[in-house]
Amino acid sequence: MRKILEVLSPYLEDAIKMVVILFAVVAVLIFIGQKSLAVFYRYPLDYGEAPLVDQAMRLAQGQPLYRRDLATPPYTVSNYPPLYPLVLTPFVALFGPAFWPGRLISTLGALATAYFIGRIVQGQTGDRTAGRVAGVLFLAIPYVGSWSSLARVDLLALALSMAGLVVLTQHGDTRKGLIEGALLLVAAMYTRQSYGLAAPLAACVWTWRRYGWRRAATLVALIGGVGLILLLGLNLATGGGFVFNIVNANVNPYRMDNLLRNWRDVRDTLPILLALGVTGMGLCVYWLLATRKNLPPQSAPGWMMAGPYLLGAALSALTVGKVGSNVNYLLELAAALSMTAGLWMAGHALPWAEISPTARRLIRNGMIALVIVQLGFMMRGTLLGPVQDLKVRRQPERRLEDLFWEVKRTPDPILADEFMGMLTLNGRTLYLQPFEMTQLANAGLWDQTPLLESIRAQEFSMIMIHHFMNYPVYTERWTPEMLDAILTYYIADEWAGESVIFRPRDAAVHPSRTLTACAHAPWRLPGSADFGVWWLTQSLIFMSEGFEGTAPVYAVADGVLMRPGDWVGAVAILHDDPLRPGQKVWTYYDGMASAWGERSYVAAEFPPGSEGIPVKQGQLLGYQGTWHKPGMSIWPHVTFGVAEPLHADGGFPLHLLTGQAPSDPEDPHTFLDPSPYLETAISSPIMGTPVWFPLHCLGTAR
Amino acid sequence: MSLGMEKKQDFRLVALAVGLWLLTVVLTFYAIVNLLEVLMRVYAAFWADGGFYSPATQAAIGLRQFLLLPLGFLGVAITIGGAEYHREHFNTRQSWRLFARTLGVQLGLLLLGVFI
Repeated sequence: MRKILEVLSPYLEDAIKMVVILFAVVAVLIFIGQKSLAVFYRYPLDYGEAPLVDQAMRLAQGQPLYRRDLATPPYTVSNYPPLYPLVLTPFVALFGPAFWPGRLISTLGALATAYFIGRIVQGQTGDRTAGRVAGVLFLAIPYVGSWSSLARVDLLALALSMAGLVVLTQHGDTRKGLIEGALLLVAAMYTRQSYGLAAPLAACVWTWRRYGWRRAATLVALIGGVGLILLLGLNLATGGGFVFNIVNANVNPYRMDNLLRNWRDVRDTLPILLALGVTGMGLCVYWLLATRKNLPPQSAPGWMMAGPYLLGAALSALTVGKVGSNVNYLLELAAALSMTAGLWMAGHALPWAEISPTARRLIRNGMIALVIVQLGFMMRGTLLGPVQDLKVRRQPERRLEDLFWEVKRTPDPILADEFMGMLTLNGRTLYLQPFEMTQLANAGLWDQTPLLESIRAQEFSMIMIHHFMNYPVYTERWTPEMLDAILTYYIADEWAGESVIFRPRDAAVHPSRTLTACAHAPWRLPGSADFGVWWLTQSLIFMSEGFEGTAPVYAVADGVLMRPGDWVGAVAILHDDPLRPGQKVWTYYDGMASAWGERSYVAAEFPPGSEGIPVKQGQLLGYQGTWHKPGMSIWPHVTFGVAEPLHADGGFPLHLLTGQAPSDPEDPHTFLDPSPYLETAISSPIMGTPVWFPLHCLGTAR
Repeated sequence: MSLGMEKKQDFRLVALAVGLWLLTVVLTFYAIVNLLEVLMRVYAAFWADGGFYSPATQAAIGLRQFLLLPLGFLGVAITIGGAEYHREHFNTRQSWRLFARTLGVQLGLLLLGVFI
């Protein structure tokens, strides 16, 4: 046995290397697969894409980006320094305002960053495999895969900062190298301002330990000097608009729950990389202390760069708690963790002076094995997370095509949030960036009155409000005043790509927002429908504004209520039928529960198992929820149906809900058309055909 | 005595080489099955859009059928070619390294199936 181990042990590394190469190849293929779905997809994939294309369009037209005075339209801010829009401008001029150039820049930025991480690790350790795997690790991190699919500034900034670090580690001893490195770091800062922390900190610490404090001070002076001159120049040229746009307009409220949610996600997604990062920080501290005491000042292992970079990246990542933030705040952290993992894989500068080759090999192979497991988890995470998200984003492609043509037909001005990109795709510059302006209004930095007046004057031919199924994201993007004005003066007219399209409300046709019942209708309405009505599977779904559990649901008429024990968010009421005197009719109210049915919003006086409880017209039954059916949630709503009682006993036809055949074939109940009871018009009264339409009465509203 | 020891060592090395070769043969077939499964799952993750009869699923099944033949040939090549190579280069660095790399790829493919 010993003989066998002696023969085979030198080749263990070859075997492990093959496994890691195989995993790396698959990780790269998954990365490429993501790009194949994203880069040339025509429509917006993220809220933040359109503003950047808009900025490039403005630059191409010679318009200023950083306006100080936002009292007049366009109500837009440029959150980032100008480098990315400048890079994008020639593409916009050549190919029009498409998204693919921006996404391509991000993809190339990610690939360049991976390459530079590899160069840094290889340069510091001389280990080519460790360098390459560190680069692939970066590409495999789910945050990188998802964000590099978007036309956003981050990957370009990251690539520039990494390029700066590469130049400084390899040519930092020459004047030219120092200047080039500093300029690249400044370029990164002028792509995204937050890149002024981690990479410059790492560069300065490393230069200090490698070449002494004088060179480090020169580097600080170069970065600070060039950065400051550019800042002053741009700020003067824009009359203070530059600082206002990239600093003041970025001060969003901070939410600890955002930070904790993201921290939990990082912890669950990258546990091994985090552990290697933390221990790497320990090694950095060790070497800082050791080189101060025992080693010559020229000794600066890679940990001196990776440690400060990780520290800066972690501090930067803390800002992920800001409202409106996303995983882009974690990209530097991803790069730093990949770098530290690379150094560990190479068994770089371990603190034991006399370590045996066998022990070193053991550590190295152990680290590579850990990285293989981490790669496996990340690939799985990417396939289950970002790739599925991307598919979901691409799903409404056909409806988005309709929306594109709808926007093309509609005259300016148009307001939009998630799908602002439909405007830029049509060659129109933005009138409003709702999220950014809402944050400014909340911070007291922008007076929204002129915009509110324009909304009330119905100056906009179309307003698109996006609404993720499981979260009313528009509450962060529009101020309550804007929403109130929109819902009062506009009517939810159509639905496309999870966006509700509002058009000016015509008082003669559309009832007011506070409508409770249509004139001459025997029944009142069961709830509000600020976001429109959906005719779906033989019932009307009233969509309300706001969070689940806030919009009340009322009994449409007097009757007797029942709620079987297994109805989480539903009740049914038996009424005298106003259209067929002497007969009875059931009304059914569903959706009064949270998305997965764990919380019921049915009023407390109607607990499960209720039966024969008399209710009055207008009595509160509960609140609109997001539960629709098992495994499917939709926006806050109440599903309203009308059904004939069972002939046998007058009971509720439960088989209509389960989709099962009726127990008595001679008694084929169906839901009834509710419009005669409510006097509302259903645009497409074909039973079972889903259609979205604005709420309007056949007669006059009361 | 030393001659006897060498013969004994040789026999152990021969047994080791034959054992490793047999292991690569067995793992080749598992690895091929696993590789096809992994490819199907990755394909499904990116492009599957419906049930069994959706175009994407049918394309994935077609892809698997298409890959089966070349991968089968690869399995035969590893089995026969590997045997020839290891016989000719018995107890050399190249032979043990090739064993290590072959087993690395095969175990890697099996491990990949755990994650994907």
